[in-house]
Amino acid sequence: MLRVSLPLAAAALILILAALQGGAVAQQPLRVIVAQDRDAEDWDPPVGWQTESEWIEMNAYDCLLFRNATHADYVAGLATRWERIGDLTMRFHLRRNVRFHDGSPFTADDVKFHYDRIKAGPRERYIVQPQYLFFSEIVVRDPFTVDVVTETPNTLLLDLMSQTGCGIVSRAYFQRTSRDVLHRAPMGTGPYRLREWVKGERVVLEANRDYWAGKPDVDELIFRIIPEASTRVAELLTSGVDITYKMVQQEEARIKARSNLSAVWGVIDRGYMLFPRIQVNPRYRGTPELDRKFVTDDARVREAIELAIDKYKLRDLIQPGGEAFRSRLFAPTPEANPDLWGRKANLYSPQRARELLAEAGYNPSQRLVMHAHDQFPSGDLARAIAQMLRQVGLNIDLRVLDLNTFNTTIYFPRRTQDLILLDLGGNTKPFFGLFSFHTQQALGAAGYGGGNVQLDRLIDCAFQDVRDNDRRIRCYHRANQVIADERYVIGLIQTQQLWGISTRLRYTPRIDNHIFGAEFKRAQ
Amino acid sequence: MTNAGAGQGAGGAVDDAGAVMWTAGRRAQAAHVSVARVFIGRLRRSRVGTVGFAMFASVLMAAALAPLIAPFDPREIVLERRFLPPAFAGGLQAHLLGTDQLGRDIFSQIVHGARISMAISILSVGGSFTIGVCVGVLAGFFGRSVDAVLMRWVDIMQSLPSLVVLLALIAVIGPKLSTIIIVFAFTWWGGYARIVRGEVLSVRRKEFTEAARAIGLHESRIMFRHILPNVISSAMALAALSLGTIIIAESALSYLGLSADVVSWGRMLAAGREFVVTAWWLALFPGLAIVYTVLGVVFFGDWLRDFVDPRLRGRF
Repeated sequence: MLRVSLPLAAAALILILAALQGGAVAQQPLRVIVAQDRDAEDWDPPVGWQTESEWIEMNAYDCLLFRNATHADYVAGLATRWERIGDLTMRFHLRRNVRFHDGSPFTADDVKFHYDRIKAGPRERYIVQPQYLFFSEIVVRDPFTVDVVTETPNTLLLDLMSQTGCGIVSRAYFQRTSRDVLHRAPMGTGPYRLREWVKGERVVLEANRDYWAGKPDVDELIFRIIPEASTRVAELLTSGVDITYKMVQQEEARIKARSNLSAVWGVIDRGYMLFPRIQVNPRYRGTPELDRKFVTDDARVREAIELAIDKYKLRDLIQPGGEAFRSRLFAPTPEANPDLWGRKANLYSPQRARELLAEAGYNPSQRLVMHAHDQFPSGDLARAIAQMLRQVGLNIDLRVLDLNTFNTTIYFPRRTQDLILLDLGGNTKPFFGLFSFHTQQALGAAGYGGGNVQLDRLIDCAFQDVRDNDRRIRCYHRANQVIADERYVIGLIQTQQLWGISTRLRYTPRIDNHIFGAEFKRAQ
Repeated sequence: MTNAGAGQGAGGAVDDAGAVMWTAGRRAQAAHVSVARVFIGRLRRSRVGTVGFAMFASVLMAAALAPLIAPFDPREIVLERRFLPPAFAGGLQAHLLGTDQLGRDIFSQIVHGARISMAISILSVGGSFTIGVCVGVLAGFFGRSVDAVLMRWVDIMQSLPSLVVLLALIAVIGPKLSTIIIVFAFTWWGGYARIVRGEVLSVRRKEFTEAARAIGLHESRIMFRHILPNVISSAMALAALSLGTIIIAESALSYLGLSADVVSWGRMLAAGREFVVTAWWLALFPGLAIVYTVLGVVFFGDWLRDFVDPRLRGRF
């Protein structure tokens, strides 16, 4: 009979159990739950500009190239490299051995189909269409080489090819099914596949094990849709979710009090800005509802509006950091004008504002209608701004609307508003900084840009000088200076976002707030 | 029988009807006076009714006297005084209930918010009451096809979800207080119509009504001078109870941001939800204001319903 020493048996048993446990931990899939306030809307990338929706959808897609987390540079995506061929052509060399989620191969034909579809499609469906109007054609050189040809020299190509709508959809899948199918079932090459979508409740993504950059650390990425910020915080504190953001700054202390959570403030490329109505765009002359004088036509009134606002006092209402700005391009983007950023961008001077209004002959009986939406903290900022403007003598009629009514109101040209408060993103992207101020490209509702010949020339230079980068940058700086001096947009404060993140993850929030599951790493 | 005798007989019937009318009118006058005294007496004897009446009356007074009571302009933003807790929780005495995220005084907002709640609820109930009572009296008095048509109209109106109608109108017209009042008034009158119609059906066969017809009074006079005072009390009880429902509905709309951008309890609740843990007073006090007002209305409305119950009229 075999004699077994009891201590030796116990030690062996412990070792065996430990090995089994370690094996179990190593095999345990990593599931990350993100709580955000808005759901995906449409799984077809060129449809819609709604930011939070895009953050979910782009986990299923790749673009030819991406911006890195700080937007300081581009990184390769479905294109491994690119080169300019003459003034009108950019050649992209595509990555090989990439497959869509259904196993079909990715080729240059998919790229051509994607952008041709956007250009040819109805404007109402493809809201990103203006970004690609300057494309002349997409030429397939071979299955892994594609040329993007523009009508005029264009410096924005890389910027636009990495922006909203850039996710490449399988041509075969689109032609086999329809846009209605694509709306709810994506077909991309991205690091995640869609497993489940319960509208208004959750999106469940599973890792693409055949992803060209390697399987992501996170095996299952879940987006839970929780509109209420206080509920998102409660879920974070009770470990119902691993990550959330868009919280009031007062929640920071509660998050920091938890040992399993970290609170991170990240500046992002969004900012609050006022758009005064200016009827200068000759494209809209003769439209009865719009062809009238506005109080804000007078540059002195617009200047008074900016001088009446203490931007850093506004900032302190909602966040501890973030800079004041005067143009729609944020530092450290090279195209951003450093003189329009930071302390230099806060021109607060209420006395001078009153003087300007007197010079302009402003009569307090002239009412300025100001619109804002009620999503926190826009409503509160709008009320604080309205009070600052009233203190210098402006007669402000503030209308804080629910988001849907607000969106309908500001994008419908026949409704006139003297001032609109918006928080807009993309302010590290050269395209958004200028295009809406060009006479021929002024976006959406009339009266918010265009008609300034000097500015048009500067924008043309900024957008088209592909040979002299220094000159291109100077044109950007001067164009932004013109926009700031004319107050076509009155920049206020850069947005800072509070994130609550589980300590079992390593993650640094991106400047564009995109949530790419492939960037989540297991904490050591 | 001679003609003179027949004419004398007809004139005598008219005289008899007139005497009945005169007596009924005198009785009604006496009844009205005694009802008022009984109302006050009964109210004073009912603890629940008195408390409810006092609660509701206090809110009405606050609404009426808001500019005098409120120590601050409810919309005045003082960024240096943000998030002050209530005075009893370490805040400033000047701000009894604290301040919100923009430094606005909570107590002043509560008092001014009462104006919105009271205005919308009273006007909406008043409008629906008026419409419903008129429709009910017409339906009950005329009966037959008029009754059938009007009651089918009531069925249709009661099947309309008023909040959905309101949302649709807000999307088109925009959030205005007048829109809210009009929609509530035009969608909530069905209950009054039904109650009044039932009462009219029982009252229209009574002798004073017959007498009024006999002496040749016009139908409208009969309906609104003789029948209406006898059937309106049940509708009034319902109106009192409906006030509470409308207050809650209006608060829900402004909570959702679908009301006009005015100082209201619902909007205060909505703003406070972001800070429910870190600045609990922002949401607590408007919520308490709603509860207090609705409770007062419910207590008083419950007592009023018992007061007008015909089974209890013998006690008067």
